[in-house]
Amino acid sequence: MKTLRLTALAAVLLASASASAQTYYYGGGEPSGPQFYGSVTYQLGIPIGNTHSYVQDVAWRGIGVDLQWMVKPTLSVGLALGWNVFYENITTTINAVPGGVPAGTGIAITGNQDRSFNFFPLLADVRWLPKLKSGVRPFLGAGIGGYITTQYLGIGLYSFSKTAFQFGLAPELGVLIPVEGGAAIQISARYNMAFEGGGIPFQQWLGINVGVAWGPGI
Amino acid sequence: MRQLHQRSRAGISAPGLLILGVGLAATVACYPSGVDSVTDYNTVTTAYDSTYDFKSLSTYSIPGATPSNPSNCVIKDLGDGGTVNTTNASTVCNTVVNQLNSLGYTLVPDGTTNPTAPSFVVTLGFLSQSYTAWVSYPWYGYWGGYYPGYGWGGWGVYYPYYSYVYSYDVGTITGQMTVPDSSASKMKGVWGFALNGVETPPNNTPTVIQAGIVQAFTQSPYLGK
Repeated sequence: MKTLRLTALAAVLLASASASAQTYYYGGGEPSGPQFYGSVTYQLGIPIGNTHSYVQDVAWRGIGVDLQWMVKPTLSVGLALGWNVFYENITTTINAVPGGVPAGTGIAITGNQDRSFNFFPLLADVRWLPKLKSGVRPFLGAGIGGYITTQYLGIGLYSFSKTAFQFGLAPELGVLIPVEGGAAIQISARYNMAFEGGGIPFQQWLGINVGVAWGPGI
Repeated sequence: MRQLHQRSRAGISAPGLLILGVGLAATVACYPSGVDSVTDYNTVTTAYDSTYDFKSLSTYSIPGATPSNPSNCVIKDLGDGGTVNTTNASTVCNTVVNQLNSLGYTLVPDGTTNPTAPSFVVTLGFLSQSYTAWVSYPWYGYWGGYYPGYGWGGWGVYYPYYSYVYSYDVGTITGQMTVPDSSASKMKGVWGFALNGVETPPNNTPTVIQAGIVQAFTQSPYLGK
């Protein structure tokens, strides 16, 4: 009997020590069902790689909507949707590589150009978001899905555009900072990768997203 | 502005939802424009035979041009086959000759007065085409008004669509460098340029045309002896 008591005491002490060592908790116990939270964010885009080669300017036209359902106290799944427009007006020369069409012909075109990308992310998203004692929820997310991409070039009196679906991945690091009324400020950095598809090469950009989140799941 | 002009668009073939999404994206896509002057519509295009050795060339002729009077060159109207005789013609002739001379080539009289064949010939052309475009202005609602024939208000379109129709001319100046093709007993083009733009002041001035021709040579560093 004495052994049993000692074992129970040790178990309680260990459990307490373990709980106090954790950096997060989830108040109120397990939710009765998946709880929703959503967010609307303004998104800046910093072009990288091929995207930067085509449009060097930071994209300041961007909006995103995240819809998330808490499936566990620290895990949510949902959708990440958005619209990001990269644009640059530039006067430069486009050189076609010799050996084009017809073979052996090199072509160069100089003129004022409107260059743009319209990205429409359609991502399934999963987030791990521990809740700190302060109520702040840092989160680590990963999106998988695709991007509907329209690449546009206007030069001289002519314009060309191409629309394609590109497979995409988007890891994300962010934080939800609670404010009054069950809402929160959401700040995150999302690395968008749209893989080559439909004649549009691999595109990538770093999105800096700032917005408002709300819902019982926060 | 550029949305008024030719546009090619290619999509992908995929199941219904994807097609719908792509179509929606293409519909709502945003195409900003930084064009704020007709000169922004100018383009300079050059094409060349990348296998040709331009250093092997030495003398050239331009129909109508002589070393003593290079501005007398013939600029062919590519539309009706006639010749162009405008104040800009001398600008085109002089600028082309100056550029070729600066590359180390030598202008010689053309074949009508010179029995010695030049190593290449430059022909110049011009084409003007008219385009008509229109813009319509839908006028959206005035709350609560009643307009005979258009029913009660609420937000909606009350007025017929107003349209503004305008036309513009697009001019193209071309130059082509041709060399004898001994294998075929013909002349073949090895380099060419085309200046394209709206023929509206201040876009069709000698300064703009000269700058365009200079750009054609600037973006062709393979030319010259």
